[in-house]
Amino acid sequence: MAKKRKPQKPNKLSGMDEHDFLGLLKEMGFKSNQTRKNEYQIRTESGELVGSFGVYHQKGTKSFVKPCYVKELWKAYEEIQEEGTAEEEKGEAGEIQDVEEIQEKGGDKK
Amino acid sequence: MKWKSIVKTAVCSWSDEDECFVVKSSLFPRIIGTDESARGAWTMFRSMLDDAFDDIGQDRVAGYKKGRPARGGVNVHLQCRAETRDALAGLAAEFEVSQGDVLDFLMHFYENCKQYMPTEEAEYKLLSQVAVPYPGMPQERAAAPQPVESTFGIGYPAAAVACPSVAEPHASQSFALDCPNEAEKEKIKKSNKTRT
Repeated sequence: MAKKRKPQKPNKLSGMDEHDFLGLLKEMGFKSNQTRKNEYQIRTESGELVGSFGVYHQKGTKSFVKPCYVKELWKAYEEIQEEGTAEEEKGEAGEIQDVEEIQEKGGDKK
Repeated sequence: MKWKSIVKTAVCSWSDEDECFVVKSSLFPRIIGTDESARGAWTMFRSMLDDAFDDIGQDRVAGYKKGRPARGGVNVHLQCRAETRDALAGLAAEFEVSQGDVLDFLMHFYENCKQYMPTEEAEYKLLSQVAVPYPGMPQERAAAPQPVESTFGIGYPAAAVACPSVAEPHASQSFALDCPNEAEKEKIKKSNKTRT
């Protein structure tokens, strides 16, 4: 399976248009669903809540997402990544411990 | 995490960067209400929180762990005044959060409200209104009415006219006592108008 592309941190974490924002969400592995007019919820692929954001529709311009949402979304992405890494490390450490325990038990029997 | 705690720790402030009012809680900053009006930002925040609260209440939030320590909290040992400690405990009980969450809230509050706090520039402006000379003060301002002595102590007649809200209570009285005639009063008013 092809490895998923890691999202690039937006340059200035400034506001972006709705299309770019939804693109960034996709790269992060999140999905969004509209809850009300101009309001969206962001969730992970497993369905966990990430946060909520609003979109601005101004006459004659593209729909716009405020910088504060982009910043908070990036922070949330980093937090989720960190937690994932910590859990992976914990899992690996547990596996090593199990192997050591088995070896020790085996040694005792001898 | 309680709905009430999130709402009580939410702060509304104007954001220059976003060019709108932003409502955000330090307890759950991933929900942000934004609007051109403060009321609109609060409304958006509340409706988003209502929609998301089932997940928050049941800890179905990505990157958040149930129980303590939550959100990668760190230990802090510090000394402060006894009243501050009691106030922290009081706020924690009121908001139904931990004292660490109260500290987070206070920092969040300060960050959002410091734009309304007096700056050196604002203080200089106020000083110029009461005509107390400061380094680099323009000559014409230094020549403006000086503080005068009255039976109520030193008063600032100009301040009572320019900004009654910041003038000391006795200042307006000293104004009445220390201005000998209407012409003098008019002169002070005029000079204040040109300064403001």
